[in-house]
Amino acid sequence: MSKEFTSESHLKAYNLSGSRSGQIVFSNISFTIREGQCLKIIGPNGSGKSTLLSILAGLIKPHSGNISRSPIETNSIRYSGHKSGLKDALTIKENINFWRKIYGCNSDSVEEVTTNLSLQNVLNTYTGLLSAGVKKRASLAIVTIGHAPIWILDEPYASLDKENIKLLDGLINIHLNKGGIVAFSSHQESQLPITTSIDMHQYTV
Amino acid sequence: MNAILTIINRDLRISFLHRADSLLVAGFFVITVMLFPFGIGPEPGLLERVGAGIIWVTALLATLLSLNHLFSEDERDGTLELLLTSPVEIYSIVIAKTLSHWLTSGLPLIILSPLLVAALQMPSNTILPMIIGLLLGTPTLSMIGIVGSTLTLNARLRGILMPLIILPLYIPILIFGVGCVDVESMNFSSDRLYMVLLGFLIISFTLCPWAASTALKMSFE
Repeated sequence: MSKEFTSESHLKAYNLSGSRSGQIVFSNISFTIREGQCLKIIGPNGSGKSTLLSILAGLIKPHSGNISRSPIETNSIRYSGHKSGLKDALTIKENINFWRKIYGCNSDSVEEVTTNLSLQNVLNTYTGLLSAGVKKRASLAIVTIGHAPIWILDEPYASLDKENIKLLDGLINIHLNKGGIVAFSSHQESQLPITTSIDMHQYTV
Repeated sequence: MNAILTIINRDLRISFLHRADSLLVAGFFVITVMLFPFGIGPEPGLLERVGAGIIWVTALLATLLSLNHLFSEDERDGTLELLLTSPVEIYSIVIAKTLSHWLTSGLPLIILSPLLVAALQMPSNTILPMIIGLLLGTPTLSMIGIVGSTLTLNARLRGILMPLIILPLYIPILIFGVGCVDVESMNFSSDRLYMVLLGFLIISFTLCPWAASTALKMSFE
């Protein structure tokens, strides 16, 4: 499969420490992941996995330490957190369309974005009427908009059944094979090719 | 600019789908103003004297009512997180939300104001200064309101804290907004008072989006 992303894609952290509500939750995390590589973050609840991913996504600043990423454009990252990023009052199609416009991506249609996650049958359904699993798939569809090289995923498997976990793993593998980078947290065993694993237990303050 | 229009479009669409919620603000405005004649008596001279103040204070309170869910809904469903990690500038997000708020809260108040001027038996020459005053003043109320909304986004007693922060800042707009109507009712020109309201609008447009953007960033720290 041909590489879609630049061969210089990377995500680096050096002596990173993160805080939540003024309290330092982890310190001295360092790693480097490059194109085609996958970082998995594991650890007990409250160990700072979401805080670390929020820092990598640029949502919050680290307490100390440095992050470097390439490409540096803000449109090079897609983030999926615990919350869906979807409006219950809108249909799946309207929600995806909104994010297409926000990310400035007119090349992929809503149908193309949602087909990969088997959402064709619920495009015109109001999001508030859908199950947690379908909402999760829709929020992961947002991540695929515009083919950004870096994906930051917080508990992407939450609410997904086995079949949809395989679907997601397939998407992530395609993304990695194109030279993309993925950093994700999960309590579950993963079939993905994990390049680097961070156990937050070792860095928790 | 595209992002601003996209956010406004989405918020207006949601507001249309949740029409009942949007009508609550307008309903509150109308019902509260209409309570005053019952409370203070229908004496025409009295209502005429305090009518502008009644309408303006109620407009302030109606604006405050609609500020509660301005960012909290987006924070609750994760839309705010995704917007803050998107290529859209925080400043643009704040501008878009302010405009959405004004279109769904301030504009209906302006449209309803002539009816309320008539209901409070105010002179007909006060309708236009009421409309112009609210047209200049309500965007400023939204601008200031958005600062209060972002400052208190994760605060425990948000419902009490936000009015405490915002209401004192609303006082100058209230004074000059009421002043426009009172001056015109005495057959003097309120052009200078309009200029003051315009000045407040320009100052708030310059400072408030910056302050709200900073507060929004800090709310995630």
